[in-house]
Amino acid sequence: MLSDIRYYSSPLRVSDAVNELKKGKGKWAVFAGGTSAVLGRMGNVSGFISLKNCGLDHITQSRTELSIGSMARIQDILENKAAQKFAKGLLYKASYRIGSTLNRNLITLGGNIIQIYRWSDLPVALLVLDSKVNVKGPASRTLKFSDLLKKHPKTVLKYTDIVTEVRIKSPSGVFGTEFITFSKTEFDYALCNVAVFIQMNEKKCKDIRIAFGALQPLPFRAYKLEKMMKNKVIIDELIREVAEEASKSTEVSSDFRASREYKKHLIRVLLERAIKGAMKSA
Amino acid sequence: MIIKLIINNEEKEFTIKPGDILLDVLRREGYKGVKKGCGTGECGACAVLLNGRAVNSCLVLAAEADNSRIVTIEGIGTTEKPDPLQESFVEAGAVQCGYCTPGMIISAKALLNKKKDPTDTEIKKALDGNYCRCTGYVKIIDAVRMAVKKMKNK
Ligand SMILES: Cc1cc2nc3c(=O)[nH]c(=O)nc-3n(C[C@H](O)[C@H](O)[C@H](O)COP(=O)(O)OP(=O)(O)OC[C@H]3O[C@@H](n4cnc5c(N)ncnc54)[C@H](O)[C@@H]3O)c2cc1C
Ligand code: FES
Ligand code: FES
Repeated sequence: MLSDIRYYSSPLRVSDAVNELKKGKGKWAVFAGGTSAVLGRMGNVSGFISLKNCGLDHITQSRTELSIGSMARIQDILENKAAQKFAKGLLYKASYRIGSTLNRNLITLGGNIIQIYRWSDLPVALLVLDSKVNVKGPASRTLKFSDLLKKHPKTVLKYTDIVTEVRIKSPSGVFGTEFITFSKTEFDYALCNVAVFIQMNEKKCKDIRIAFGALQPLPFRAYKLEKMMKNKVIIDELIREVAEEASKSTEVSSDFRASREYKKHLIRVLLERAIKGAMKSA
Repeated sequence: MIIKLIINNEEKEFTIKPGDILLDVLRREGYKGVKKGCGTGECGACAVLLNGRAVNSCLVLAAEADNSRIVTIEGIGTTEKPDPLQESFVEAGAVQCGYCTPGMIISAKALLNKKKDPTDTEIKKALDGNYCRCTGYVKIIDAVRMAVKKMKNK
């Protein structure tokens, strides 16, 4: 509840922010874009430590990787030339679908990957790009994004941990990507998100990563499906087989938005389209 | 705590609580053109320009806005000297009850500050967080197009 908030500070350095969080003993939380924080979706919190002055809003590309500061807004990712083109527009496609312009101007990359909801869009794309996450805290470290998602990121991170940036290796070789989302209206939350990254060697699939979102509490990689395609010559029949398997083996349940059967249908159709889309862009 | 804001080009200082929301502070201080609709970031009625970007002020912590420049609908134009967007909304019949109009104009203003000649897709994308429950969107989009023409001919 916002009426419980008694303390606010906006330190100039990440190390000072970490110290502030230590002082708060778990009662003070990181404040990023605020779109979840001000709606009181952070539990029992009595202070906010804002990262706005910590200089974490960069988007930079080197020869080998794209690095995005955790305070970069989703709209910054959409408007940044390097981010737009990165991985054949995969980050752009996933960011384009998040909320509205009025909210994308607030929502940060860090907030979007820590405050994950089942329908969160960008984490699905980050999963297939094998992203890494830099964390500063009493024990600074680099985590694989997939490891941050083993449980909810809020339980993987300690209350003194601050995500400072996401780093994504520039894909090489002949590769293609696709991100497809399905929702009832343009603005509604996703019912099913699919991201695919594929690397080709002639007609053979050298490597593939498939991730789904909005189907289970957290986005996930579909390793079993990836195995079905790796080192195989990709023909329509194989794609159909993989999509069938995805529909059969993915655990989903009915909710007020859609039935289990409908979601299973979506998985099959969207995965088939996403694999074909990724191959087309390769 | 005390925050300093530049609102519609005027320097202001307000005493706030750390958990206060910018929308509530603005309305409390007399900027009643900033409307409260949903209060949860869905409708766009509370839109303001924060350092040049259109945002939902119901999702902004007032403390977080300290030292920022804010433009509300009151700063876009006046009855005597309306902005081309305000004229166009009237002329295109894009206003019925008018509750959504300040937010619509703020979103459109942020777009036109960046793009002098936006495409229809860009106009729709810029307004994608602004709901109108009366007019429908055809005349609102017409009004933005009309403002683009007016601004070109100025
Ligand atoms: C109306 C609406 C529609 C939306 N639609 C979508 C949508 O379609 N798709 C989508 O993906 N998202 C959507 N979102 C955004 C999503 O729901 C979250 O609100 C958002 O991702 C949170 O990001 P934030 O920067 O605002 O974080 P905040 O609200 O500031 O923080 C959220 C949580 O993350 C923690 N945190 C934030 N940054 C860091 C960091 N760097 N290090 C450690 N912890 C951190 C905070 O402590 C807090 O617990 C929508 C939001 C709204 C309000
Ligand atoms: S009142 Fe802010 S978006 Fe509706
Ligand atoms: S004119 Fe009434 S809500 Fe838009």
